[in-house]
Amino acid sequence: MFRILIVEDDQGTFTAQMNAISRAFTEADGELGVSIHIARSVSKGKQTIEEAHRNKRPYHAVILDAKLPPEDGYPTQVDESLCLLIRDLMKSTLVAHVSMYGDDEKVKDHLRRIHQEQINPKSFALSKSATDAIELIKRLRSFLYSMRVEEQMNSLFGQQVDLSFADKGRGRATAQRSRIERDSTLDLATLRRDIVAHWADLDERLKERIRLVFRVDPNSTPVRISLVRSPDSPQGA
Amino acid sequence: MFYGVPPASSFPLEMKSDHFIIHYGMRNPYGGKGRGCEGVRDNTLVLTYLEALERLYDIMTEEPWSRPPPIVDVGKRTHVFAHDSGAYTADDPFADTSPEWLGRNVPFIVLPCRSDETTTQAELQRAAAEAVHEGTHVFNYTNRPYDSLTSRNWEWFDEAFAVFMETMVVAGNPDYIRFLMNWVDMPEVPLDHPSAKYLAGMFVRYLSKRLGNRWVNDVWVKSVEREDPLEAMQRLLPGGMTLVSPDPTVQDLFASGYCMDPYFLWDHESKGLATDVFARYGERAISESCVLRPGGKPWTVKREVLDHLACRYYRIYFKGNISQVTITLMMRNVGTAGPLKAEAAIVTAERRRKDLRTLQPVPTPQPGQNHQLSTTLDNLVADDVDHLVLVVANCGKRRDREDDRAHDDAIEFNLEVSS
Repeated sequence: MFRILIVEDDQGTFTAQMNAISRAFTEADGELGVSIHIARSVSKGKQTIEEAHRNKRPYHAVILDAKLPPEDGYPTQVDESLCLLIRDLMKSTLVAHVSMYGDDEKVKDHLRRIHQEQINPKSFALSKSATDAIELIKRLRSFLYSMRVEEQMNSLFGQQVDLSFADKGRGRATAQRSRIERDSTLDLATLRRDIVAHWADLDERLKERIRLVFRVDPNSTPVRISLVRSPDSPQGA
Repeated sequence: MFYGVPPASSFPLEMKSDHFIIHYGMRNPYGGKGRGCEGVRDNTLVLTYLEALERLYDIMTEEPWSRPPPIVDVGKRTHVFAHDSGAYTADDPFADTSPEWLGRNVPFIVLPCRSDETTTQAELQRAAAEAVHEGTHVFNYTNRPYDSLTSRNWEWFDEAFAVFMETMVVAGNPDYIRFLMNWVDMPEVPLDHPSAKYLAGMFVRYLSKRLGNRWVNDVWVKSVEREDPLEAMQRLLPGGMTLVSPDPTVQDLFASGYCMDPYFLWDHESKGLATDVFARYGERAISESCVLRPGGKPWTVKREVLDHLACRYYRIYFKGNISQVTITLMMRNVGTAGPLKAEAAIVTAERRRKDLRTLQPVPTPQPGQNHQLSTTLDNLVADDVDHLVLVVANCGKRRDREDDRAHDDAIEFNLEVSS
């Protein structure tokens, strides 16, 4: 189950985001695939992040306004300490800024310095418009499902390796090959189910990696995948 | 870079039995290229796989299992690939099926073409066990295919069932014991915990001793789509039996049976008898032990934690003439009733069980106070008693969906034992 923290002082925005996210992450069997937590201010957000870190239950994503009150009841302002804390304690967590102050110079400066000028695909900024609300869900699904599938791939087949190695043919170094080391029946079943259910959400780089392992027919609905390679596959033998 | 299973046509050799076909190659063939780490050393491994798979087939298709033949492709045999990887079962949506299985994926098996077991005997025992294990998954697949979301809740039982079938089909093969080290050492791990799915084979074995193989098989084949294993078991139990219950007036199969009986792994009168496991790993882990002395201070255990569908053992020895012992368990933060069940038994000098007692609720002065269970064992004769064992079981069925933390129930309790 994904854990998402929303830091938002506006109740209406929080409710809208929570409903949209809950809908987007309800699995086909009706089971909710996300656990959403809320903080109303920067200090509460920091407290929640620190507690999650202490309990070894990091958040997969944090959605936050760019301007938040430092304490409950204070006027809103740009406070970078929350983003810095997330980056410090939860390096793999996606940070999504959703703000109506996108044109504010201080907000722009924060996004530029803390997020966008760093090589950091784990953050983005959107406005509070309806179009961007759809974009938020799309990006959340892509990030979270891709991350989960990639973690399963790493666990089963090892970390991503240099793809150019594929050309070395029969003499390939066994030590560097990723392999299944145990009875992986159910782990494989879970991975396969996840790939099939969320193929449309997965990022292209991950899809390419999946094709290295599985035979994939993306044109069928749902997508068909198999660990047995096609007889006419160039990698088949 | 190639990770998946090569197509059957790329393996130079195949060996068929009535219901299986193994695709493989030799590490050092008489002619042509050697397959190195992707080849078998000789045919013995392949023959061992085939023999174990056929034996499983015979057993699974006869009474009391009576399973339908597995889903196969037009070749009418289950494909097995001897490949340089661990063992697993998966399914292929691209396979050509006969009309009776139209639209269904076809399960296939991958078994390792080599092993790092230190003797050939160990390698072949492992091979037979793995073949039976994966073959069981193939039979189970027909009822609960991997692409079905309702199969998720059955994963631990699928693995437990496969381990159990290892003990049935290749009886005497000790390979399954490799899974049981943590079962012996960590009774506090929940039955359905993802890390304990093989360990739960002991639960299935226990149920088969209590209720028979047909009943165990029925849990798989007669469960309805949306049930989970525990729900199916409860529904299929004979009248008057309860699977899991903290009620001290109920002798449930889990706490009063599966948790208490395996304390006596060595006892031939116990349904938990498992002398092979006892010989290898000894008795189950004890959370804490004490020695009571006449007039001594009560022994206390503070802030113990127990997860759902798991148990802890405590042991009480005597020093001197003690004729009466009172055991009290205090649950914290559970309201008027809690999921814990506690039972105490005398372990005689002959290491047999005697005088089993279930701790009973103690009325508390005010509602909302800590929930207490207690019992007193009296007329104890020191010479007849080796020790007392206290088994605390959590009969809660909650599983934390957010992650797999060890103690998701956070049920805390204190113990006090006085003479």
